[in-house]
Amino acid sequence: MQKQNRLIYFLLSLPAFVLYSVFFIYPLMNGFIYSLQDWNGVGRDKDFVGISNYITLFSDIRVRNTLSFTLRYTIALLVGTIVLSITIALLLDSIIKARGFFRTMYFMPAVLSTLTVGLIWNQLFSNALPQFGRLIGSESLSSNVLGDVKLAFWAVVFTALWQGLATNVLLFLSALQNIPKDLIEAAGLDGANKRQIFFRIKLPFIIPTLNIVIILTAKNGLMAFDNIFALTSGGPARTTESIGMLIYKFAFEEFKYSYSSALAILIFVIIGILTIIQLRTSERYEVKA
Amino acid sequence: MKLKKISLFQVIILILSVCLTACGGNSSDAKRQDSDETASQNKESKATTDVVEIEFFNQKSEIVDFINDLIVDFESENPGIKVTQTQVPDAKTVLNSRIASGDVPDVVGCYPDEAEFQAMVSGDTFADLTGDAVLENVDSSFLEDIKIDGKDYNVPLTLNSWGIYYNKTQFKALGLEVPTTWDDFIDVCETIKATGITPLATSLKEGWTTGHIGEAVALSIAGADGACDFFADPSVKFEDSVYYGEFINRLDTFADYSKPDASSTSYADAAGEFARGEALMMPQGIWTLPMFQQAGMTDEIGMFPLPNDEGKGVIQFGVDLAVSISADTPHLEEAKAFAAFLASPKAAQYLADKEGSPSTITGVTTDVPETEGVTSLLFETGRNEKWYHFSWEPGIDGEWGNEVASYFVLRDAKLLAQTLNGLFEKN
Repeated sequence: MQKQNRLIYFLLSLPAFVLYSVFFIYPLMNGFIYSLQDWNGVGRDKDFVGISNYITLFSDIRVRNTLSFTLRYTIALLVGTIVLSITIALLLDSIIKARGFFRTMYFMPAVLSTLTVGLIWNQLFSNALPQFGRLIGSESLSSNVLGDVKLAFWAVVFTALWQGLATNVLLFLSALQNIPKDLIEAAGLDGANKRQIFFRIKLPFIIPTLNIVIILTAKNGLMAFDNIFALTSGGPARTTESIGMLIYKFAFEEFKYSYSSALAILIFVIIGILTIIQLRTSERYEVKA
Repeated sequence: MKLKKISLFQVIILILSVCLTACGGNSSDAKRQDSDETASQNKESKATTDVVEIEFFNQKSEIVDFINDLIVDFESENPGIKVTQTQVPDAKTVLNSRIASGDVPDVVGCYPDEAEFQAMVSGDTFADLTGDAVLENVDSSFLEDIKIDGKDYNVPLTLNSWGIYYNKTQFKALGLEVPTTWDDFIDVCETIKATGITPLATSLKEGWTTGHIGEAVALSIAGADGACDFFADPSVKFEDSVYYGEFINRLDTFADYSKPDASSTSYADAAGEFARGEALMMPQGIWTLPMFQQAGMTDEIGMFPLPNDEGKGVIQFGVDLAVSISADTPHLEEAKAFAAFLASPKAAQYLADKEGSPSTITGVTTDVPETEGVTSLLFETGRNEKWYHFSWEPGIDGEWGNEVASYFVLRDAKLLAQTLNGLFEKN
């Protein structure tokens, strides 16, 4: 019986494993091999060059600039997402009337593709916002913010947050709703104020969700591509060029396919390390069910 | 939680059905845009089973319908051959991936001037067509520049070129003449600006448009040989070139006479500005004309070459539509027959009438008065040059365009020179 159960479990997980291997493991291995060659992505010459692509990456100023942008963008996204999602989730948790309506409203952006959201906001920033800016007499908002070297960063972060909050608010809301109500009541009776209730009771319960949100948001930030592609294509003057955009440009616009693969592998390693660190650190604080 | 007991038998059935659905769909169906009506018409007339099927991979979405019409004609003249046209978004990337994986379409629409094409040829992707009957209708003067190692690897069919569109109707109303020298051009811009209208509709955001502007400006200052060296001579850095100062001045002119947010304006939006009369000139290629017509522009349109100091502007051009044949195709004769058909005067004239691009086929005339100011120079000696980016390494033209676009934002001439020195290996 045991043996048969094990076989069933194995067979049930087989399709997922096969798909995962074909669409993730195999391309990753191939990408690693390309990163050790000097292929331009078009011709058939693929000569082995060892780790020279990786060495060049470390001295490439474009890589450094895009890494700097990507890290700043990710941090802004993380701070914005965590603070705003939890705040909105707490607010939604305390609403009795029309909770369903608000939940739907906040979730709407999640059903749109990132590229669609980018294109919509591109039009809003190019045409609608300047008109509003002129109306209120603001000089910086009177022209397209996506063309301003300083404001484009914030426009891109804003658009990502607008969409990114949707799923995360829902995740936090369901985590909050799973906290045993009697614990909160008891704390209230013992004289705890709202701040203490949040930090001492609610937060430890939502740490597993916080983990997921941090990992997913950090991943979205570090791999940002479609919304930036739709909004600014990395401009103006490369000030919003993310690592994802640079990988695309190297591979498909500048015909440096192997160099692009090396950068992609490097980012994979960085994200992997960050994820491990984050999981280990937060293990201490979560409430185990 | 108690798990419901599942029998081994049920699990195996589940897995088999998942695998069958995964294998069932033909993945290439999603990519092919079949000429369905023609397929069903032809099926009735063909009773035989030895019909040869070939694939034509078309990179130009604007001509899909015209090619389908030509395929109908070709198949009626050649009942033993069926042609399927493939046209997908992001065609260039799809084609590169297919070639890299060895799945080369039988007939490929390509851009033979571009460096990537040369890279593909070096990988023995395309068949050698030197001296083949397929080229007999092509004007031989257009074959010279696109030979690789002295051999012909494709059949050039149409040409494109670049210049300045202008709103003829509004020019007449303002009493403006077509400028021939650079100073005249500035005067025209000033006059238009004084009326409150933007002189130039430009997309300084998109690298490919700014790259064209940069190359055209370099040519207008330095002339043919000077411009070539401006880019290619490794011994003279950009900032040390005699032309660099004026190059920056003329780039500034384009920016100063465009809308203030031209650096965040897309190509489509810039075309809209010109079509609506919000700007009276637009530096672009002849390929943009259909966009003005689709936007419902009623004012008359004309074109002139970017002026230079001599008063005889030189245009830049390239081969627009060309077809190559896969070196490994199992249907070489049929593929050649299709290519020869496309290069026949009848088919080429049809394409010229419908699409408007100048043709490389002898005896074919194109009647598009809007772009005549530029296309007529294709046949005038000394008034046309191939784009310089054709002779650069693959990928450099993309970066070049992005660096010029960055200049329009940052206006840092020193930084531009520094970056270009690195890009063109002048360090």
